[in-house]
Amino acid sequence: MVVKLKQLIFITTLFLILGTSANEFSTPQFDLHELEFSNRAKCAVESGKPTKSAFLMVSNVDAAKAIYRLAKFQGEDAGEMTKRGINRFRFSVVSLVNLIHDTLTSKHLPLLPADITIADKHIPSRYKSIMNTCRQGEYCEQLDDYLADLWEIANKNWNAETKKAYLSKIDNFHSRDNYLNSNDYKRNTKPAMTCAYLKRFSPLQAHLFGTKPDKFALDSIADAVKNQSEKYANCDDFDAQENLQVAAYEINLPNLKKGNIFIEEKWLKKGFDYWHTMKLFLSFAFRKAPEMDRLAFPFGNLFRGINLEESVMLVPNGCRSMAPAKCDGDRLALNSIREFAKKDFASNAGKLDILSETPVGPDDALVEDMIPSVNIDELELADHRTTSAWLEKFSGNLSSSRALLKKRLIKAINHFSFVSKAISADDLMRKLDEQFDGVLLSGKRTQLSARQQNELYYLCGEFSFSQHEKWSFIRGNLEILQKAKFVDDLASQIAQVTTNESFNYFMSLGDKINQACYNLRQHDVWNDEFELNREGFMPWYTKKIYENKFRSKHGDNIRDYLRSNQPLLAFPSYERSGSVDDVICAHSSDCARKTVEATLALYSATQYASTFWSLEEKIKSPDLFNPYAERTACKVYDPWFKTRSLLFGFLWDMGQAAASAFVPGMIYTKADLQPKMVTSFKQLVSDGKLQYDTQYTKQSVMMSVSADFGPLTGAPCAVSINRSANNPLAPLRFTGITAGACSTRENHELNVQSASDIGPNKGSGSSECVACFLNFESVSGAVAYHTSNVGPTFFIFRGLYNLYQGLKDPHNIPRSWNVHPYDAAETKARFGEIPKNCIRKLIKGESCLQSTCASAASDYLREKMHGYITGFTKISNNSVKVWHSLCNGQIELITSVSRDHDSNEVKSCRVRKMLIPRNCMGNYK
Amino acid sequence: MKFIIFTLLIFQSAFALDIETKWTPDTKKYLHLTCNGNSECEKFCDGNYCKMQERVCKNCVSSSIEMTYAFQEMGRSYIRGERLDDYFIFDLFYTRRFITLTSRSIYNLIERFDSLSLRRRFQALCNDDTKYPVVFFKQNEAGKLGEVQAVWCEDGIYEVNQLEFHDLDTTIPLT
Repeated sequence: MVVKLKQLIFITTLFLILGTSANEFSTPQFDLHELEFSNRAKCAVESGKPTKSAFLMVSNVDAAKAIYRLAKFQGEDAGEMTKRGINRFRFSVVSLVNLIHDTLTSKHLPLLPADITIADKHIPSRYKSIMNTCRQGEYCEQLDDYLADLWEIANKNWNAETKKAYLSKIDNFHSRDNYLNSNDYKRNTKPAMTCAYLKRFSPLQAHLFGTKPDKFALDSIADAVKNQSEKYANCDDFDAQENLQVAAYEINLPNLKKGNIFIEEKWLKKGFDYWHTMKLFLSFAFRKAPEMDRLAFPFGNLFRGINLEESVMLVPNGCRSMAPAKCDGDRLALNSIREFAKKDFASNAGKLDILSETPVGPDDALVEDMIPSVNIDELELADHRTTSAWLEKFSGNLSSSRALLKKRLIKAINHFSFVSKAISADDLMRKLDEQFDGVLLSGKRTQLSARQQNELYYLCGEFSFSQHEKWSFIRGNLEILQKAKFVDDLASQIAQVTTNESFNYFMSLGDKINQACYNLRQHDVWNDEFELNREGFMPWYTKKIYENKFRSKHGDNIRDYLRSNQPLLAFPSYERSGSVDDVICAHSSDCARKTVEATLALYSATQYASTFWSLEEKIKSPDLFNPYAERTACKVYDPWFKTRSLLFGFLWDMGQAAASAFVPGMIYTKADLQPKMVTSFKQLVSDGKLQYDTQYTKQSVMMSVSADFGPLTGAPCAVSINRSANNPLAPLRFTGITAGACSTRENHELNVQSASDIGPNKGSGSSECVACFLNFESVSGAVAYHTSNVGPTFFIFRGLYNLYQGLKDPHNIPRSWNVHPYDAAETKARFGEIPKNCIRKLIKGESCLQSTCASAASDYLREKMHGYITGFTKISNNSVKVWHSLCNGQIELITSVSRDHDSNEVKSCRVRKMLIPRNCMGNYK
Repeated sequence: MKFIIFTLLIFQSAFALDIETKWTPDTKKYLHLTCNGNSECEKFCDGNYCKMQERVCKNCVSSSIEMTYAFQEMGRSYIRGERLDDYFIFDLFYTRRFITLTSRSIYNLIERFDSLSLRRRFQALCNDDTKYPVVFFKQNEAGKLGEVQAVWCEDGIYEVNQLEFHDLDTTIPLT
C-alpha cells in the first residue's frame, strides 16, 4: 500500500514537473533561414567566419543503454522507460542549448573569448589567467568554479543590469567586447534561436549539395518549403523522432540587421566567442546546473554521469565555422571525422589512415588532397532516406572506430605496464639470444631452425622498419610520443608507466635489437635455402608493407607455440582460462615484437586523439561540410589567389616569363633542414634555406616561385632526408625493410628491397638527399630538378598538377549566392513556377513578386509571423489578400502607395493594417 | 584448534555486513548497509541499517577507457589482496568520494547487463559465494572513476589492487 502510494506521488510529481517544464523551458520554434551557396573559394573564405546556423547532432546510445540497464535493475518495463529516457535526454540537450542562448542574448551571461591571444579585444583577466593556468587536456577545477559562479548569477531572478554588476565582480567583463548586445539584432525581433528536428536532408539544405542555384534548384526549394512537414518536425515532437539512437536538429540564430556592415562586423568579432561560450556552458550546465534536475527529470542524476562530449556534436550548417581557424594537430584530427560519414567507410576502413596502426597523420590528407570537392554532397547525405539513417551510420562508424582504438590502446598500456617493468631491455636481449641459440648476441654460428630463422627475420624486419636510426620511415614520427601527454591524461587511472617511459623502453630495446641485427652475419643466418614465410609478420606490418595482400598468421603461430610451451609472461588468469587473450608474451621475440605493436598503438591514438576523445570537456564542432576550413587555416589553399592573380595580371605574366628562364636547376635547398620539419616554399625562400642560382636575384626567384607554384608556396612541406644519392626519384618507396636503396655500409647489412628477398647492397652514396615531400606515398609523375654541383634535390609532386587543374576551373574566385526559401516558395505561389527572369533576383537573396505591394505584404508578414505566404488571391495598390502557411483563413493587408511625381509610377508601398482571422493571431512572433 | 575455529567463527559472524546498491526513481544511487551485528557498521549507521547516497560519477555512463578497463579487467588486472579491517570501508564512506561497481552496474555499457561472464569476473574477487561483490573505487578530483580500493564480499572486505608485474605468471625470474 505504502509502495503504491509512493509510486502515485512520484507519477503525480513527474506529471507536474513535465507540465511546468514546458513553460519554463521549451524547445524553440523554427523558421527557415536564408541559404548561403558558396563556390569552393568562397567556402574557403567563409571558413574564417562564425556560422549562424548549425546542426546539433545527438547520439543517445550511452544514455539509452544506461536507462535500459536501470529499468532492468529496477524490474521496470525496459522498453517504455528507455523510450521515455531517450526523449528526456534529447529534450534536456536541446532545451539547455536554448537556455544558454537566451541567457547570452539577454546579457545574463558574458561571452568568453575563444582566443585569448587576440590583441584588439578585451580579454577578461581572471578568465585569461585561468585559461593560461589550465593545462590542455586536464580537468580544470578553476574553470569549473569560474563557470559555476557565472551560471549562478545568470540564473538569479534579477534584472540584466543587476546581474551585469555582479558579473563584473567575478571578472572585468567589458560591455562592448564581452556581451552580445540585444541591439545587435533586428529591432522589435526577439533574438530567439530557432530549432527543428531534421527528418531528412532536402533542397532546404541545397547549399550543401551544389554551388550556383539554377531554376531547377529554386523550384525544388520552393516545393520543399511547401512540404516542410516531411523534412522537419518540432524539436519537442518526440513522436516524429522515430530513431532511438540518434537525432539531428537544425538550429538557427536570429538574423542580424541587414545592410548594416557594422553589425555584421560585430558578429564576425563575437560569433566565435558565442559558440565557444555555448560549448563551454553546455558541458558545464549539463553536469552541474540545478536546472538539469527539472529539464531531465527523473533522469537528471543519471544523465550527469554521461560523457556528453561523446554524445553531442555541433556542426556548422555550411561553409562557416564555430571556432577560429587554426592550423594545429587537434583541429586537423577533429576534422578527419568526415571519414566516418562516407558510405564506403566500412569497405575502406582498412585503408584509412585514421584506423591504420602506422598512420601518417591528419596533416597528410591536407597535402595529398589539396583541392577536394565541396558542396556537392561530399558526405553522401542524399544516399540516406532519413537524416537519422545518415547520422546513425556516421555515429556508428565513429564509435566503432573509437572502440577499436580503445582496444588497441588498453592492450598497449597493459603491455608496457607489465613488460617494461618485468623484463629490462638488457634482460630481454639476453632472453632473445637464448631463443636464437646465441646467434643474436653471442656470435655463435649455430644453424637455426626454419621457425627460428623466420622469427629472427620478423624481429629484425619489424624493428628496422619501425625504429632503425637511419632507415625507419616512422622513427621520426614516433618521437611525438616523447612529449605527448595524451595517453597519460586519457588513461591516468590504468597506466602504470608514462608514455615517455614506454617510449624510452621501446627506443632502448630497439637500439639494441637493431644493433644486434646489424651485426649479424646475414648470409650465414639466412642462407640460400631460406625461404621467408611472409605471413608470420605482425598484422600492422603486413598491412603497411604488403598492403594486406595476405592475412597475418602471427596470432596462429603464437597459438601453435602455446600448445606445447608455457608463455613467458601471462596474467594469473591464464592458468584457469588457457586463453591466448590472457598471455602477455608467448616468448622473448613475441615480447619484443609486441613492444613495437604497442608503441604504434600509442602513436596512432596520439595522432588522432582529437577525433575520438574530448579531454577538455568541450563539445566538438568539426567543420564537417567544409574541407577548406583546415586547408585555408594551414595555407594549403588560398581562396584569394586567383582573384589576386587576375587583379595583378602583370605579376602573373612577369612570373611566367621569369619561370621560363629558370628551368631546370633553379631551386635547391640547404642540407640543414630537419626531417619532418613543416615549412613552406615561401618560408624556405624567406629564411634563405631555399637556394637558387646566384645569377638570379632573390626577388625574382620569389616571384617565379609564387607564380609557378601558386598557393603551393604556402603549403606545408614535410622535409625528409634519406641517404640515397643514387636514386633520387624513388627514395621513399617502402617495399621492404629498408628505405629503397640507401646504403653506405659494407657487406652483410640487412638491406632488402622487399621483405621476401634479400637484395645485394647498393653502392655507397655519401651525400644526403633532401626532399621536400608534399605527399610521401602516392608519389606519381614526379618531376625532379637535379643538379649535381649543388647536391640537394627538390621534388614537386602530383599536388602541383592537381593544383593547376584546380586553378583552371571557375571555382577559385570567391562567389556566393543567397536564397531565402520563403522567397522561392512565394514566387512559385504567385506565378505557378519560378519565372526565368526571377532567378537572378532570387539568388541574390531578393524576393521576386513583381509587385511592390505584394513584396511589402510579404515583408510585413515575415516580420510579424513565422511561416510564409502560400497563395495570393488579390494584389492591388490598396490591398493584398493572401493565404498563409500558419493560418487557415485569408489574411488581408491594407496598403497605401506613394508615386513618383513625374512618371506617376508606384515608388513604394506600405502596409497600413492587417486583417487576420482571430484564430491565427497566436502565430505572431 | 577448537579455539582457532571458535575465533574464526566469531570473526566471521562479527563481519556479516551486507551491502547493496540501489537506485531511486529519480536516479539517485544509494548504498544500503545492513549491519547484522557488525560493530563498525552500527557505529557508522547509528543502528542496524542505513543508506548513503553515492555521488554522481562523472563520465561513468560511457564506454570510456577507464570504464571499459574496469569491467574488462575485473578479476584479471584488478585482483584481490589482503583482507582489510572493517573500518577501512567506513573511512572511505566518511570521505564520500567513492564509486561502486558491481556486475549489475548500470555503468556497464560494455557488456550485456549482468552477463554471466561479467558476474564471474566480479565473483573472482571473492572466495565465498557472494553473488554480487561490490567493488569500491576512489572518486578522483574531477569526479571520475579513480583508483580501485576494495571489494565487499559476504565474508569480509578485501583489498583490491591493480595487477603488477611481480603478480604475473612467468617462466623467467623477474627483474
